[in-house]
Order: sequence, then structure tokens, then C-alpha cells
Amino acid sequence: MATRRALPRRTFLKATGVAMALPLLDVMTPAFARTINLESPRRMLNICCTLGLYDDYWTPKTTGADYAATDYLSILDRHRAHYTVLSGLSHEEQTGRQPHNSEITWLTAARHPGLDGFQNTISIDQMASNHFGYVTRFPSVVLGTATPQSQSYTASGVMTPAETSPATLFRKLFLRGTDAEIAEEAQRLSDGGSILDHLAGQARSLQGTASAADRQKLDAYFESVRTAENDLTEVQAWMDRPKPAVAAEPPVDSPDKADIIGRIRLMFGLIPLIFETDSSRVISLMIHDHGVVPKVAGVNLDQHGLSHHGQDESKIVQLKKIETEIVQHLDGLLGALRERPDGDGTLLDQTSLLFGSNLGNASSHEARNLPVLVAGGGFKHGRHIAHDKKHNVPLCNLYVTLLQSLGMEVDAFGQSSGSLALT
Amino acid sequence: MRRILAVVIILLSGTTMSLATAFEAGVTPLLEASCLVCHNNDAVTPLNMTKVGHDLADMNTYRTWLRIYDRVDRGEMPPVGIPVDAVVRDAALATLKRALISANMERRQGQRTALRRLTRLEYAYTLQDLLYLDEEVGRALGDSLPAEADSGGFDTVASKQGMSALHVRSYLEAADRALDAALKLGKPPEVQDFKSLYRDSAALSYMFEGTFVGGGIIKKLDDGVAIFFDVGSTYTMHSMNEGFHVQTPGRYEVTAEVWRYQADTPVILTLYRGVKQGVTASLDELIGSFDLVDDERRVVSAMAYMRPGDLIAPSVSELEVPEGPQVNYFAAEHNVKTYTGEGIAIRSLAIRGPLLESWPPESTTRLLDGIEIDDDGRVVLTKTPYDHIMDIVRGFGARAFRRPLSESEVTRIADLARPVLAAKRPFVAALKVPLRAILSDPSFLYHAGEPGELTDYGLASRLSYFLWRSMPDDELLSLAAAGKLRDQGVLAGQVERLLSDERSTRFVRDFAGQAYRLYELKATSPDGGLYPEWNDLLGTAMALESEQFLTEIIKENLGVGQLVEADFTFLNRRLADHYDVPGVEGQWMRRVTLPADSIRGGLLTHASIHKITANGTGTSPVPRGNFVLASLLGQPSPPPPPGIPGLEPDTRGTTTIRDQLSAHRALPVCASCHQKIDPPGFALESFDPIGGYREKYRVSGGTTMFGDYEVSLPYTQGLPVDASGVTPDGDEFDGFRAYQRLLLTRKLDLLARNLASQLIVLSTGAEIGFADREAVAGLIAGMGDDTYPVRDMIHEVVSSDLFRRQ
Repeated sequence: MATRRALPRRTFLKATGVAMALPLLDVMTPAFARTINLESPRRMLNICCTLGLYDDYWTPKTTGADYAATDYLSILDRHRAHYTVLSGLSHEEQTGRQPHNSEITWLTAARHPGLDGFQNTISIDQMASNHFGYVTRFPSVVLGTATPQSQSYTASGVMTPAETSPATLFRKLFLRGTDAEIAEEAQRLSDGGSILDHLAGQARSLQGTASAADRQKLDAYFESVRTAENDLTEVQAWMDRPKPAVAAEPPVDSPDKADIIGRIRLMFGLIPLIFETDSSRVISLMIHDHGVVPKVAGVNLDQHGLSHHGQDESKIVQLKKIETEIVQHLDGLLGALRERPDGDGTLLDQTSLLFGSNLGNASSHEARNLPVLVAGGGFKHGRHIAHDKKHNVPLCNLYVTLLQSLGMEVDAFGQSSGSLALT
Repeated sequence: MRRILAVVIILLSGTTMSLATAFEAGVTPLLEASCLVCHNNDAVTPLNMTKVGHDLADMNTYRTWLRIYDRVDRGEMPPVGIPVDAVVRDAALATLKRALISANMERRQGQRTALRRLTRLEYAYTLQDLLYLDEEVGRALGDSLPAEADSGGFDTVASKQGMSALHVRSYLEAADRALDAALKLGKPPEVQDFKSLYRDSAALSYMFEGTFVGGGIIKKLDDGVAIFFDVGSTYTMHSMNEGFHVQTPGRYEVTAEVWRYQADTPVILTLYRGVKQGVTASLDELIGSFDLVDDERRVVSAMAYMRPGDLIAPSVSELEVPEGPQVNYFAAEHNVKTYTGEGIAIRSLAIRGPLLESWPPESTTRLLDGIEIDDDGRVVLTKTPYDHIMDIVRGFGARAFRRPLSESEVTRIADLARPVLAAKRPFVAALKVPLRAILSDPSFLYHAGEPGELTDYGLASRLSYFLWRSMPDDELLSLAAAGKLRDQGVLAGQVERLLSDERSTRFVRDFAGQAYRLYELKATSPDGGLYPEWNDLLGTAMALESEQFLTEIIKENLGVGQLVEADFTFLNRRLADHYDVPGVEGQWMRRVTLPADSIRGGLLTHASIHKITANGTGTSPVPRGNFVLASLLGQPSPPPPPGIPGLEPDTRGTTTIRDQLSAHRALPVCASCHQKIDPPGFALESFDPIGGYREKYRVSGGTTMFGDYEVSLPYTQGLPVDASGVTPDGDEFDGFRAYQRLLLTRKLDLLARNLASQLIVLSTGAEIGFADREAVAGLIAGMGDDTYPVRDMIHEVVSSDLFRRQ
């Protein structure tokens, strides 16, 4: 655990209104009280490489504290004491309608994604988001590198769309609109409030005559309207509080879809800012299949095609170039989170960071033996914890642990059979 | 008979004890004799029958027994080698059938379709038609809603549709934007009239000399410029480079003066809409492609919806490159001055718009019904503001809710404007509040209907959302108002009218997009080294082929067998070249009668289908076999049991996927499904991932470095394709053609039943339940034409109880 730095976090922020933007809640459970700061909020960060990570370069062959780092992990080795590599974890029954459907259940663990009768379940980040609520301006931030597709699902199985523009995100987080814009937005929200109230009444009046099946649907609509109303009240309250000012320059979007790495860099750059201004405590980032040849030196095939390397050496060489750059940026992100003080430690100490993929072997679309790395979160780190390759341990056991680390009283999630000790 | 009744009653009573008794009598003998030998506690199969409960009210238990019924009924189980007594089996099936029907009926309580909401697409089309908006505006509004869940089948199915606070917030925001787009007051926007003469282009002047990397690829001519490479258009020729910046979103007309240059064969000019990406531009949407067949200058034109930030780029496609030294756009030497290859000359690019039919636009005048707009584009009220709002809510509300509103409803909604009026905000701001409320109201967002026969208004909606994917028009609504729509003759007349209307292409496109998964056409990008002939033009033509083929089948009322085999298709020259069909000139799609020796004709020969069932590198018989089983025959296979690894394609050319599958099929647990999945997949091995016909697999040639760039080497020919197989019925086939014949002779009724089922699911928003199966079979049998003409089938669907009842 890093020691307290001389420079408090607040000096990174300009003075105005920042104190209000940093509400401090005691959300700790006693189990974690030993290792983390009680006054500083806990955070969650999930990052998924949806096209997998080549296993030979990722999973160490040896286990325990003195595991030998593989090609990818050696990139991160300076942070070795701050993360744990876990292997032999997966969700069961991830064969879906489409071979890549396991990406929609990475954070939810619902079975048979996309097959007839499938309905997705809540993702861990949205559970955390519901837990924290509007204690921050954004209960969660959902990001994607290419499309609005995300891995964040509500309790009713609805996908929360991802923000793909770092510039837009920065504007929402940190920039103040003109007075006219703010007045217009306030008016729109206030009109919206009276409309929502009216809609709840409309739904109620229809419920009276509806059949049982229809009433169920109307109930869902009614509940959605009520939740939207509550959200709106919270959003209105946040409108009255100034946004935190940050020293960072607003990012300029990379409009080129082939610039996968550039987009990852921009997103990774915003994550520490979001946390240190306490704009949100929950962030999920989906690194998409961009469907084009990425701008990476020495690569002339698209990443999806390369992920289906079929053990073709020339393809694996190219795949490695892309994945190496992704892991290099993870190294930078870990560094940035470790540099910034938070409470008695660093932002990373306060953040349960999950990095991995929904595919273990992307070449055959196999969703077993997933690559998993957990950093920060006040856990004991520095090890490779290997589970049985043939009989995987539920990844959900880890999810239970991650949720608990946020101070949530959960003892089960999805397919969990318990929790996974990281002490 | 008494005994049957007893079984049904016992099953309905829901106690495990009694159910066990019923199964004891009917089903258990079969289980004990033929099933439990494998499906037991030590089972290697995913199904352990000793653990399956009997409570069919439980959805999972119900599904399990349904699958058991189907697999036994189709003779897939018990597998070869396990003895089965036909009498025992039939008795078990009869018991199960009765139980499943009862459970199905019990669950739905007289209502097949629960309240279903507009899909994203229906929402988009509905806003377009309701507010008289441009199609592109509607589409963007639909895209702003939460995505539909990816759960297979059709997104109209109520039980799969989500609702959340996110939806509600999105509806409010989309309504806001829709009303902003519809209500255009004030002065008309300035029409931009832009023309660039490329010869005088300032942006291009430095390109002609080419003393830097990426330069020297455009040749200056006396009255224009010549281009030779599609790569250049992403950073040289586009309208933003030439200084055109869109001010107002809208429709723009794009024209170019072009001719063939240094070419003897037709060359293709393409026009794209895109956006700037750093120093280059993305070419996002192909808005036009033109064959240039001679050296005469001609004017080509296309229409595009453009927003600020959009650009237009001309490009070239498929120009022949001569042998010998090439123009090298990675180096400054070898520029186009001495190049002799085919090119296209362009004199000018002109863009004009936004094209306004009237001002204020129809979207505004229709919405502000009864209100005058003066010459400065200001509203002039003729009554009190509240009275105007009442009028508008009454009229607009009836179209939005697809039924008349009661006066109390009108008042309740209009009253939302009162506080806004009281606060002295502008009239339009006050009007927008009730209109936003209407566009988020459950009566707008959901398809209403009580259990029982649909009302006239319910029928009008179901029909128009079926065949137009949008709201009923005035004619349908007035027929409903007059109570005439339920008349069989009137209804049939409306089916004809709707199918003949342009809007029915929305139905065909959405049906093909979902039923045949054409929405996934662009999901993978083919390996450029293995499939260098792939490009956008080909991809666009592929999608159009399938859509226009299906449209033709409906229009000409052709038999359902045409889906499998037909002597015609729709082609342009690009796709005709791909298919090796001679005599097709020009880039427009048209109906082509296929030569007798062509392997093409029928959906399974469409490159679109081959592409969506392959990944970019290779093909596998598994997804293709599953496509035939699920999308065409309606008999999808269950997912593989847990722990079975997928197949890895081998692009090194040492083994074929067929060899790998044979090993796979040696496992009995795999064989029971793969004996069905693999044969159609094998037959389709004759088509590569982009739909080219092949006799040998292509093998990757690897890559080489070219300066700083890695480029693919040409592919080589590998192992031969073996497209033969044996169907589970024991029919052998030696290739794709023979398999096609087998489908037609053996599976035609299954094909018809599945198509009818798909149409019913899409239109009614409810799956075909076990209890509906006989109705569907009856519908098909009742057609009285064993070729099952598809337009007739649509009529049968609409007049069936499944369609006309909730």
C-alpha cells in the first residue's frame, strides 16, 4: 500500500464548488476497514477486451507470488504488487446465438446469451451504480471505444448505452454551458417533470382495465416512469451544483475508427479525472471490435480476423502487436491511478479494477479460462491464483468479492457459489 | 376419452404427485425403455431426465419437455441403436402433446400477445409518418433509443421487450428532438449552391506534382482531373477539401460531370457520404455508383441527406492496373503523369441544398393545423392559445394513438400546457409540452388490445405495422372508424393496397434483416489478403439482391420453393461479375434470368447469406447448417453442451473444417445434433465467405513489408471443397445442387410452415406457442396450392384467427 503523499487531492482541483462535489460516505464493511481508508469513497472500474487476449502471452505458467510474468504481464510488472492475475475462472453456459454473445454477459453471467427466451440480468457495475445512486453527479459512467454497445445492463435486462466520445464525456463532466443553455436545460427538465407525472397517471388509468399480462407490462412502464422521475429530481439537484474544474485540457476525439489505440488512450486518460473529482464511482469500458484494420505498426488485418488466428503464426504476430499496445495503456492507467493520492493511499487503492475479456480462446470463441486481472481495491496482491482449467471456478465468486469491496452487503451474484478470497 | 380428460385435469391441477401419476401412465414407459439409459444421473448429455420436474407451469420445465417432445417426434431421439417401441412412443407423445397444449393455453389465458411496444424501427418509421419527417431524421431518432435485446427471433415479441427508466428518458428526449425537427418557423434556410471545378482546385494544386508521400496520384487534364485509385479519395477529392460546409441538415442533390479515361471497358464511379477523420475522410455511405461506358462526358447525380460536418467524396472502383511500374503513393516518384492504367476523369462536383418543397415545411403546417404562419414565419393565432392546443391535441393525438381520444383525455393532455401559458412562455413552447407527453404516452408506445377479437382500430394498427412497420394511414383509420375493416373483403383489399405501396419495402427489409439476419451483413470485414475482390459496392449489391428478390416473390406471388431455388435473381454488373453471369451492364439492380448452368438462384445462393454465415477468414458448416435449420426450416438446434470446445478454422490449408467436424461427430453427444447441422453446411461449402463459388479453398499467402507498410501477398489454392453429404433421412447428395433438390422435394411444407410462422410472429408480437402449431399447419394446408404462393400466404395470415385475435 502506498504511503500518504504530501500533496492532497484537492490541490489538483480548482477551488470552486469542489468540496460539494466530493461527498464522502462511509460505505466500508469491517472486513476491509483494515486496509482501506474509511473516509474515502470506494470505486469500481471494469475494462473488457472483447476480442480476447492471446493466452500464451497472458496467463503465467507458474502460480503463487513468484510466478514468472508472461510477455503481456511483464509490461505491467512495475505494478506487480498492486494486482492479482486469476486464471481458471469463467461463467457457465455462455454458448449463445452468436459466437460473440458472451460479451453481453461478461458483467452479468446470464446463461445462453441471445438464445430463445434469453433475458439479460443486472451487471455488477449497475448493481454498484444503484448502490451509490446520485451521491455523485453520475451514478455510473459507461464507455465504449467504437459503438454505443455496452456490457452494462439494468435489472430488467436493458443495455445502458456507452458513451464513445471523450470530448462529449469531458463536456458533461467538467464544462459549464452558457447561461442560456443552462436555463433551457432547466426548463426542459422541469417540463419533463410535469410530463412524467402525467404519464404515471396515464399508465395508472390504463392498468384498471388491463388483462393480467398487460398489467405486468404497464407496471414495468409505470415503474420506469417513477424511476425516471426520481432520476430527474436528482439530475435537477446536481444542475444547481457547479461542476468540478480540472486543469486538464479537453480531449479531442479521434474520429478514425481504425485508431483503436488512440481511442483507448483518450478514455483511459479520463478515468483518473472522473474518480479524483468524484464525478462517478463506477466506470465500465468496453473495448469493441472496430471491424477495421487498426492503426498499429505492422498490422494489416482487422483485429477480429486476427483473433481467429487458427494458430497461424503470422496472424499471432500481428495480434500480439495490437494487444501489446492495449496492455501498455493499461500500464499507463495503473500508473496514473497509483500516482494520485486518495485518502491515506492512492486512487488505485480505493478502486477495485477488473481487466479481462469475455473470451478465453477467441480463435474458437471459447468463453472459458478467461483472462482476469484485479488491481487495487485494498486486496492483497502480487500473485497468480490459478484455478482448475477443466473445472473452472465461477467468475461470479470474484464479482461477489468485488461488490463487497465497495461496501455492499451481497453474498451472491449470478452463478456464484461463494466469494473468492483476495486477502 | 375419460382417461384423456383425467390426464389433462391432473396436469392442470399442478401437484407433482398427480402429474407423476399421469406421466407414469403415458410417458414413463418410453423414458424407462429408451431414454434413461443415457439421460440419467451419470449422463454425459446435458439432459438428466431424472431431474426434470413435472410442473409445466414452470417455464424451464415446460421448455425441456417441449424439446423432448420435438426431438422424439422428429425421430431424432432415441438415437440409432437404442430400441424403441412405436406404440409406447406414440402413447408418450400423445400424453405429452395434450399436457403441453394445456399448459400453453393455461399460461396465456386467452391472450396470445401481451401488450407489446413499438420496436426502435417502428418508432422511427412512426415518427417519420406521424410528423412528416425525413426518413433519415426518423432513423436517427430511433437509434437514440435503447437497443433492442439480442435474443434471437423478432424484436416485436412482447415477452422479450425491455422497459426501463432509460427508455422513458430516451422517449422524452427523442420527442423533444422530433418536435424541433418538425417545427420550423422563421425565415427559410439559405440554399447552398456549391460547385467545384477540380482543375482549378486550390486544395488539389499541390497534389498534381506529387513531391511528397501520398501525392502525385491525381492527374491534371485540360478540362478536369483524372483519378485512378480509390485510396486517394479519402484525402483528396472530397467536398470539404473543396470548401463546402453544410449549414442546414436536409436533402442535397449531388451532381458530377465525369467520363471514362484511358479505359476500353466500363469503369465505376462511386459517390460517398462521409465525415472528416483527421487528415482523411471516412466514406460511410455509398450514395450512388455509375458505370461509365464511353469517353463522352456525362452528368451523374445522387441524393444524400447531409448534416453539418458531412462531406461528399467521389471515388473509383475496380479499375484495371497494367503490368509494370506502378504509381507508388507511398513514395514521391512514379506519379500519374506517365501512368497508362484505367481511370475516371471528373470535371466538376456540385452540391445543392437543402432542397425545400415548401416553406414552412409540411411537417410544420400539418402539425400547426388551424394556425396561420405569416411571411416572416411567425405563428398567427385565430383562437385562444389553449383552444388551439386542444384542437391540435385532438387531431394529432388520434393519429399518434391510432384511435380517437375521449374529450377527457384531450383535456387532460392539453392541460399540461396551462402552466406554460400562465408563465407567458411562447405558444410553441406551450404546445410542445402536451405533444411531448403524447409521444411518450403508453397509448402511443404500446400496441393496445384486449383479449379476444381485435377491434377495427386494433386491426388497422396490426395490419399497418405488419406490412409498413408503421402507423396506419388516414384510409385505414377511416375504415376503422366506419367499422368496415373487419369485413373480409375490405381487409383483403387493404392487404393488396399496403403491399403495393412503397412503404412495404420497410417490411421486406425488416423481415429479411431479422428472419435471414441480413442486418448482420456488415458485421465482419473479409480478410483482404484472401478476398481482395470484396468491397463496399459488392456488399451493397448483396443486400439489395436479397431484398429485391424477396420483394419480387411477394409481388409476383411466387411459391415458397423459390426461396430455395429460382431461375432469376437481381444483379448489377458488379454482382453479376461475382456470380459469373454474363451480359449485365451498369450499376443499377435489375431482375436477371439466370443461365441454365448457373448455380445461382434462391436465397441459399445469395452472397449475402454466405457472408453472414461466415467470419471474415473462413467458413464453417456449423453456422451455415444452423442457418438452414433455424431461419429456413424453423428447427434450430440446441446449443452445444457445456465444455465442448468450438472449432478453430485453419487458414494454413492443412486440414479442412470438414475433417475437423468428422472428428467432432465421432462423439455421440455431438453426433445427435451434428447429423442435422452438418449436411446443409457441407452443401454450402461450395461458397466462400463472400459468396464466391469455389472448388478449392483459398490459402493465405502471408504478408510482406512494403516500405513501412505490411501488405498481403496473393492467396494460393488449397485443398478441394467437398460439398457432399448425407441427410439425417439417409438421402445422399453430391453437392449443392443436389442438396437444393432434396430441400425442395422433402422439406417444402416445412419451409412453408416456417415462413408462415415467421410472418405471424413478426406481425402479432407473440411466438408460435405449442397450442398454435395446429393452427399454423391448418393455415398452410388450407391454402389449397401445394406450391404455397407467398402473397397468398400473407393474405392467409392476415385473415387467420392468430392475426385477428389478441
